[in-house]
Amino acid sequence: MTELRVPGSARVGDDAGFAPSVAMPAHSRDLLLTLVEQSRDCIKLVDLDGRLLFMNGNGRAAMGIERMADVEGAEWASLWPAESRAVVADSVRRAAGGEPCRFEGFCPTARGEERWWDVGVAPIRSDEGVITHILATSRDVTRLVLDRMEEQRRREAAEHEAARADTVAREMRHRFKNQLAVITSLLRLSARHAADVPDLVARFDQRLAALARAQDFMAADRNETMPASEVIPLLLRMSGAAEKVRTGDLTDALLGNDAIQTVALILGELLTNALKHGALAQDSGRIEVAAQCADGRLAVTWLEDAGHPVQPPERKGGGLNLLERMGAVTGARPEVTWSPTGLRVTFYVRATVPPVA
Amino acid sequence: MSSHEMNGVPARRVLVVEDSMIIAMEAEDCLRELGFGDVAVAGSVESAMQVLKDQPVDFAILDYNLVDETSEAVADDLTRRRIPFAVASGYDDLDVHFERMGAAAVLSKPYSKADLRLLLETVGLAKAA
Repeated sequence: MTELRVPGSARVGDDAGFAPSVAMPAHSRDLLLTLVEQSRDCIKLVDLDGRLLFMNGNGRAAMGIERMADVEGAEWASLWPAESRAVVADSVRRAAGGEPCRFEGFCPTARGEERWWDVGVAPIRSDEGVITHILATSRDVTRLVLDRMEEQRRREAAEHEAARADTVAREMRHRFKNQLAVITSLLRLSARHAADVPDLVARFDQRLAALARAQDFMAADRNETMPASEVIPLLLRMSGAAEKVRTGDLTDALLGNDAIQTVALILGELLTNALKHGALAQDSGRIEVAAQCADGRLAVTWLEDAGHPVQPPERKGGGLNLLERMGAVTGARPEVTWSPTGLRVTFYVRATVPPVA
Repeated sequence: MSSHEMNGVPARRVLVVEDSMIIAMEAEDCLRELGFGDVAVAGSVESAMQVLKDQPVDFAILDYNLVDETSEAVADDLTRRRIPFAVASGYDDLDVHFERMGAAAVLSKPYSKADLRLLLETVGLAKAA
């Protein structure tokens, strides 16, 4: 095979000292060179061992290589970042074995700009069909790759958001069913202790209102809590009883959602009872509510003062009956006693002691 | 008919693990009406374990989600003691998980007295109506 040298007088590239010894048909070399130099791709001629023989002007510009002589004979793979070298070397091996291949790789420019390349690597054969060289064409696909990555990021963000929304919806469905269970249980409990339908409606109304008050400050997060010292005054104010019901010492012990609901219901029962039969049936009556914390439980004390001596009722109303059973869950039954001037109730709910600041 | 016997079924002890006081009270009432004179209620894993330690039960109904825990530890304890139990939950997609926990049945919240009766019949603790 005749070796043809591309002369140093070639119109393109000579300023960069382009003088590789490349075998190519003499009659088309100028035209070919012009085409190669015009291409916006980075075009390289590599020998079968992977050494660079030629790189067009655009390729050199992208790589910040001033003179071809600077890289001529260098291993093509060595121009790539370490993590890409194996892929480059493999493509050379495959092309040298007659198998054209393609890969996408990251290689920053000499100025440090991030660039992704779509690289085609193909064998060049002589007229006799012998593989003599390898042609590597790298196209800058940075825009495409960045778009693709952005698209991927957006898709992942959307999927993440959809998954989060699913979790929230599932949790809300669960919470809602639980509330439905509480309400149906409340209705059935009310029905058991009600004298007649109007009595049932009145009691159920009052209890639903108490639940609704609790709902206002039950946290969306089931692990969130609220101090008893805030919950109790808020509940009293919301039920319109703040004027007649004073608060005594209130602990900062933290209440979870169920405890808040229980406190709301029991205070509701006590308030209704007080208005009908107790201290608030007359203007002279006063009530004090206090809360202490002990053994992981909040003890809420409700102390009625009718302003005059009272006799304990012979028969407890449905509300108090229900109240007396309400301790089972915390393991401590409410204590219902009578002082000379009125009812005294202590009930318990689960609470946690706040961490010391 | 003695207080220990109703509808021909001897009185049995049932444990209800439920953190909502209202639901627990209502379940207790329902179970009593269905002839289960001895109902223990627990609002947490710790108190449920205490109940089981103090006096064995014949059956248990576990609410899956308790305040800041699940009732899985109670399920494990019941399985060790070979006590059948049902899991009650407002989650509609955990049935397979509950069965793997060893639940004899799954109660979907909210559940009614009729649901409870059906459940107890299924596990052979109540006579079919």
